[in-house]
Amino acid sequence: MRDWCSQQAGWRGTAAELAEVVRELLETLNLADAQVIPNERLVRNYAQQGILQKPVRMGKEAYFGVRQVIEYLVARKLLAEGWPLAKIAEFNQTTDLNELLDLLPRPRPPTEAEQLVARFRRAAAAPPSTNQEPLAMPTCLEAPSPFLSRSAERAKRKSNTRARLRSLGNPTGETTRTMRVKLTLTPWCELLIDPTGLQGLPPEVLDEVGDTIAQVLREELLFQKRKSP
Amino acid sequence: MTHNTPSLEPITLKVTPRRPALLEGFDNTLDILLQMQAPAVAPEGHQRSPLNLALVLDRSGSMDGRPLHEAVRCAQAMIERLRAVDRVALVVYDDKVDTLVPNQCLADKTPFYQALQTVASGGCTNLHGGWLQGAQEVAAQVRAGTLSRVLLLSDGQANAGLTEPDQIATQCAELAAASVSTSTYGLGRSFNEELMDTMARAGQGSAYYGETAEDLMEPFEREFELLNALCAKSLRLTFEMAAGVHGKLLNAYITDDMGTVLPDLAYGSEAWAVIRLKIPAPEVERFQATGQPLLSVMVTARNLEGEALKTLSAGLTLPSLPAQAFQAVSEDERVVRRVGEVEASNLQDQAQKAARRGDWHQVRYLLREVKERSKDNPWLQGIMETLETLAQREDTERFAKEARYSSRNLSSRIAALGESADYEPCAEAAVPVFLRRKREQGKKDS
Repeated sequence: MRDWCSQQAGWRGTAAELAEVVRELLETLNLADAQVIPNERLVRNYAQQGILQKPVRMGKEAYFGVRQVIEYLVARKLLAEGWPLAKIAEFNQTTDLNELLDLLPRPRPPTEAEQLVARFRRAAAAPPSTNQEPLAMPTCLEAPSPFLSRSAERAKRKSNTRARLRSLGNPTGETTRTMRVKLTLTPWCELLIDPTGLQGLPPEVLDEVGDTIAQVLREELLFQKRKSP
Repeated sequence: MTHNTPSLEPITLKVTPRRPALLEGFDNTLDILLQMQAPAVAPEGHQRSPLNLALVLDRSGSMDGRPLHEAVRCAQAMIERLRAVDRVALVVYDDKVDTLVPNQCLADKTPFYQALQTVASGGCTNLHGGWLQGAQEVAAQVRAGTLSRVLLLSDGQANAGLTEPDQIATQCAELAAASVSTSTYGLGRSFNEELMDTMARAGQGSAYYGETAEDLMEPFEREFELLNALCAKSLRLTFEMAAGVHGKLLNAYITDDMGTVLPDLAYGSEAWAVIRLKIPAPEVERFQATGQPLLSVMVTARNLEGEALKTLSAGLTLPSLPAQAFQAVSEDERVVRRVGEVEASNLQDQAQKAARRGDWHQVRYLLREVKERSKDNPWLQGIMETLETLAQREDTERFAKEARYSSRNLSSRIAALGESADYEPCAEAAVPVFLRRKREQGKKDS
C-alpha cells in the first residue's frame, strides 16, 4: 500500500469517489466484505463518527485525501477483527499514517487472467501495424468526418509505433506475435512447439522428429564437451 | 462390448464401438463413441459454485429500440436470478466502452437495475474493447471454486478497436486457460457469426443467437441453467491408437496443450466424442492374436472447486470374426445416431460456407445429402426442414447463421443421459432447457 500512497500522494476526491477507490483497494487487499459495499453514505457516516478525518471543504463540496483512504481500509480490517467503532475512531485519530499502513496486508498478486488482460491492453494500445500508409486527411475545406478523423488518428499512432520500433533495433518496425507451447521435459531440456504445426503432423513423422532431436542433442553434447576446458 | 470404468465419481467413461467386432481378412473402418457421463442428479445439499460474471452489452446504433430494450430485459432477468454470493460487472459498449457497474457481489442489486435503466444506444461497435473490459472486471476475482465468465452480446460487425477474428479468438483462448471463459450472444441478421462462434469456442463457453429480440431470453436461460447444474469442468480427452491403426476425432472440438477440449459437464448430461479408426487387414489379424487394445482413452477433469478429479481411462479390444458372423452382429443404435449427427454437422458447415459464396446449388446438394443420411433421426429431419426452407428463400444471412449454430450444436453439445432416438418437440420440455434438442437455434422454443 506504500507504493499506492506514493503514487497517489496528491489524490483528492468526494465521498463517492473515495467509496469507489476503497472498493477496489479492499478487493486488492482481500478485505472486501460482500455484505458491506463502500458507498457515499457510509463514507460520510464514518467521517461523522470520527473514523475518518474530517474532509476539507472547498465551496459546496467536501474532499477526502489519501489519509482517509487508509483510515477507511484500516477501519474495515479492525471491524472484521471485532473492534468496536468508537475504539477504531480513537485509534485512527491517534495513529500516524505509517503505523496505519503497517496494519494493512500486502496487496494480493495479480491473477494470471489480470496479467493477460494487461498484456492484451498493451497490445491494443500498440497494435501490430499493417503495411498501409497513414490515411491522408481530406483536402477539401469541409471539416473531416469524425470517422475519418478517428481513422487518421489511428493510422498516425500506428506509424509512430513503427518508427519507435525501428529506433529500438527492429528493422521492419513490425511486431510479430506467435503462440508457442513450452514442454519442459527435464529441468535442463525444454521444447517450444507450434501447436498448429504439431496438429498437422502425421503420427509416423513423430518418430523422425524424435530421432532428429536425439541427433541434435548428441551433437550439442559433443560441442559442449569440446568447449569446456 | 461397452466398457464401464469402475466407480470413479463423479464422472464415468464409456467406450462403445459401432459394432463390437472386426471383420476378419479386410481393412476395417470403425466408429467409436466415447461418453463422459455425469451423475443423473446432483447430490443432496449440492450448491453451485459462486459465479463471477461480466455482462457486456452492445449499445451501438443498430441496437436502438426493441433489441436494446430486450437486451436490458435479459440482463435484468439474469441479475434477478443470481444469488447474493455471485459477482457481476455490467459493461456496455459502442465505439466507447463504459463500466456501468464494476464487479461486485449481488448483496444489493439496486445499482444494476438503476444502471440498466440508463443504457442508451450510441455509435460504432468496439466489440473487442467491450469484451476486454468485461474480462478485466472478471479477472481480478478469479478464485478456485468460482466460475468466471464473460457474457458478450452483439448485434453487429466489430468495426472499431481490434477487429481481427483470429487475434480476438487467440485472446479468448488464452483467457480461458487462465479460468475466464467467454460465451457469446448474437442478435438478429447482421452480427458476425464467425467471430461470435469462434470467440465462444476458443473461450470455452457457449455460443447462442436469437433471430429477433424476442428470441434472446431463451439463450440466457440456457446458460444460466447450465451454470446452475454444472458438476465438472476443464474436461480434456486424449486418445492413442495401437501401432498400425489410424484414428481421427470427428467432432469439431478444439485442442489445447492438455488435449481435446470437451464441454463442461452438468448433472444429468454427457459430453461425447466420436473417433473413427482405420485398421488395415494385417493388423486385424495381429489384434486377434495378441488381444492388444486398439484404442486407449484418457479423460481428465476438474471439479467446481478446481481440484483435479481422478483420471478416467479405458481401452478397447475387439474380436475379429469371419464375414457371416460379423454381419450377424448388430450395430449400436446410439453410436449410429451420434455418427450421423457429427456427419450432418460437417455437411451443414460446408453448406453455410457455400451459402456465403452464393453457391445455392451446392447448398441444396449438401442439404439433400444430410437429409438422405438422417432418415432414422427425426430430430435431424426437423433441423433439415428448417434449413431447406431458408435455402429455398436464398436468405444468406439467416441460412449461414442457422447452419453454423446448428452445426456447432450437433457436433459439440452435451446430451441428456439416456437421450432417446425418438424426438417430440413437446417431450423436450421435460428436459432441462440446456439439454433440449432444438430444431431452430435462433428461435425460442414454441
